[in-house]
Amino acid sequence: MTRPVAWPQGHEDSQIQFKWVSIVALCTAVGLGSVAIADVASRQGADYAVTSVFFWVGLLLIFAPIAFRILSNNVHPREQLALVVLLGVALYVAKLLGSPDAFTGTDEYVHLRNTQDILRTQHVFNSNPLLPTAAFYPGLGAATAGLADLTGLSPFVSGVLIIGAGRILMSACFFLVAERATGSARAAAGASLVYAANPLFLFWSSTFAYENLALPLAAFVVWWLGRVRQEAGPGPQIVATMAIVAVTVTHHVAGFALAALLSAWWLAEIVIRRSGAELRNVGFMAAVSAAAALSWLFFIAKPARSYLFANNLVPELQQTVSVLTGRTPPRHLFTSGGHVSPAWEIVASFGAISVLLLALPLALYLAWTQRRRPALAVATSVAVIYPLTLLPRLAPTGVAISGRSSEYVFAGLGCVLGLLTAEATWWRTNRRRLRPVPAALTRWFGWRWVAVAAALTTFVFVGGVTIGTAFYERLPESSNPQGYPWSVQPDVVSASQWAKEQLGINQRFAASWIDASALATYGEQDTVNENDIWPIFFADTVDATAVHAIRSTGVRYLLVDWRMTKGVPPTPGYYFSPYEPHAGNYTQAFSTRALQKFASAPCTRLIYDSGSIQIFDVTLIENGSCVPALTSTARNMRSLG
Amino acid sequence: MKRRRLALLSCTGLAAALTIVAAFVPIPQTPRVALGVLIVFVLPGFAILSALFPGPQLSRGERLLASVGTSIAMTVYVSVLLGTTSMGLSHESLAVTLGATTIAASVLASFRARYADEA
Repeated sequence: MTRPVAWPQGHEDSQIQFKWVSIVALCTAVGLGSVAIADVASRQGADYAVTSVFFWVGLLLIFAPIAFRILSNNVHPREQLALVVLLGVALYVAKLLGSPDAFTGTDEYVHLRNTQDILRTQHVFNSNPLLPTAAFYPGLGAATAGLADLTGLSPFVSGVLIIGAGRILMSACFFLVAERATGSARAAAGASLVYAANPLFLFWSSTFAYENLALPLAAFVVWWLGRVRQEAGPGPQIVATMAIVAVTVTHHVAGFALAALLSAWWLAEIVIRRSGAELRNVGFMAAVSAAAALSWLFFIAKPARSYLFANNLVPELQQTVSVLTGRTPPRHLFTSGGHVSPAWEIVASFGAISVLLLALPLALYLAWTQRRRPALAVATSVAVIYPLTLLPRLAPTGVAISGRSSEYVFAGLGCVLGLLTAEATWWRTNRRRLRPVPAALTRWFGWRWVAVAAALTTFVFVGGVTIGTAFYERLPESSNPQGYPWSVQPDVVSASQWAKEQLGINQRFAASWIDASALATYGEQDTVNENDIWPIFFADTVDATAVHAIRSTGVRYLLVDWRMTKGVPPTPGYYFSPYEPHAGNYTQAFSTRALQKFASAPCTRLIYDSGSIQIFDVTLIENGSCVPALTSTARNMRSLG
Repeated sequence: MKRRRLALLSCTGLAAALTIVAAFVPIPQTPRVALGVLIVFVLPGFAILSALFPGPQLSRGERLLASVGTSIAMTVYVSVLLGTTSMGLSHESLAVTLGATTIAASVLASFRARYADEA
């Protein structure tokens, strides 16, 4: 049995071409400049038709030259590795340019709150009003708080450094794992390109969120075990166990995915190799990973069970089945909050998916010819799931499960499709007859196979970006948005800071889900679950329903955002909660009368009024010392009750 | 090769010791940031890997990559662990824990490297 290559070894006939590296790096820098121009222009309110040109040109300048270079012939594997890492970092910086001085993503607020709580209390497992489950996976928040405390840097800068280090780790480890799985550095380069083309890689995977630290650590575990499992002594197990524990305390799904991957690897080793110390090592670490993930879920992170299964996985799968059986109409793709994606983006999205689906059978055939490789067998078993993961996208709420799965599925898909890019580009050098690629076609293309492979991966990358993020959310929102905004606005931040100074922290607030993010972080307030408080805002008067909602949730303050009356909510299609009336189907903006009621109600008190933002004190209603005059309907209901 | 490793381990131990000192004595922001970044992202992993793998099992690139991965992993679980104790997660407790681990691992790695030399 030959020992797999440990680290990219130089080809005898190749060396690192610093000239090419410099050219590619220059293109990357120019591309980032173009993205920066798009971001600045978008912030100043420039038209999307103009800003999007700079945005896409920038992304193409980043992706295409790297793709072309790393798929070319006679490129040193270390150069390929360096350029893969450059691609990962450049796309991370492209995301950062959109919000260079603060976290602005929905999930980023969740973990910023975790970090703030840990910094303030010096302890983990504080209650997180934005996502209670996140408090039970404090790895990211604790590490960020630790770095911020050690260095004196802000939580934002510390978080950017941690996720950035994770991005480098992910890019490098994925390339090395793919190289080991496929046995080819060029296939690994192709795999890395396909992985970077997954719909979440550009934006979501760059956010300050726990999964984006846990996944790189999981990739590190897989690389590490593949690299050192033949070494004697406890060293490999000690390091792997440390990383597995870190994954476990950082993210639930990543912990289980790692356990599943290691178990599948162990099974593949059993079936293909059947014996050896390597088998025992992988099996042992699979058991450690599974035990750690399950123990944490059942003994520490108890709320995560209902969050994962009852609130997310099961309803989304049920809805997918309902759509497939015709009981529920499918979701309108590429439309959200009154926005419709540009036509070319819709074409690019379907085109990218088509390329992947068409290439998959060929790639699976290549994988079949190398089925004696256990790691490739595991990658193949993950890749075949890809078509199935597209189905939940048709369901109204299934986009989450479909989109989020791509970070995992594209790992296997990348390795398998990487074989295809390697075979296609490898043809010219070795002149061996390739099975799946028609010889006439390869002769006709000749050296242009490299260009075709690079162009196709770039096309899939473009399509992935259009699938992964709504077009209007790829660039920063204008500082003076028309209609209802999709991101936290500066005046809400000011109101939140005022609340922190004047009311103190941990006050129970009710607000729209976007504004709640600012209140919970900049204001450090305890915002109440939006599923429970939406009736307070929807009623035309402060009626029995609103009073009941205030009392049952213990809400003491309401943040009213008058911009709700200016436009319908964009993605995810509601102001407060998916359970509110018209959620996902708004055709008109929020009722002005419904918000006016707070100013005229006798038991409420306006304590903050600035521009579109008002804060009302409803403590008197909450503690029962003042009862608003109820409507006749409510009085009837009460007398009947 | 081994002389360079020993020199690196000495620097690692020194930087870890300075990190501990910096947690209790006010120092300028720039060295504080440099020490904090090193102790979170590189030093503990490098020291632990040197202690566990004193020979040439890992190339320089692999050692660097594994140092970053191990350091981040260690920072994550040490931070969480400290956050569950009555001592709490503070810059003092984190600096002492990561720094002491790094120094101990550096000392062990130095002995193992020398022993490997004599063997």
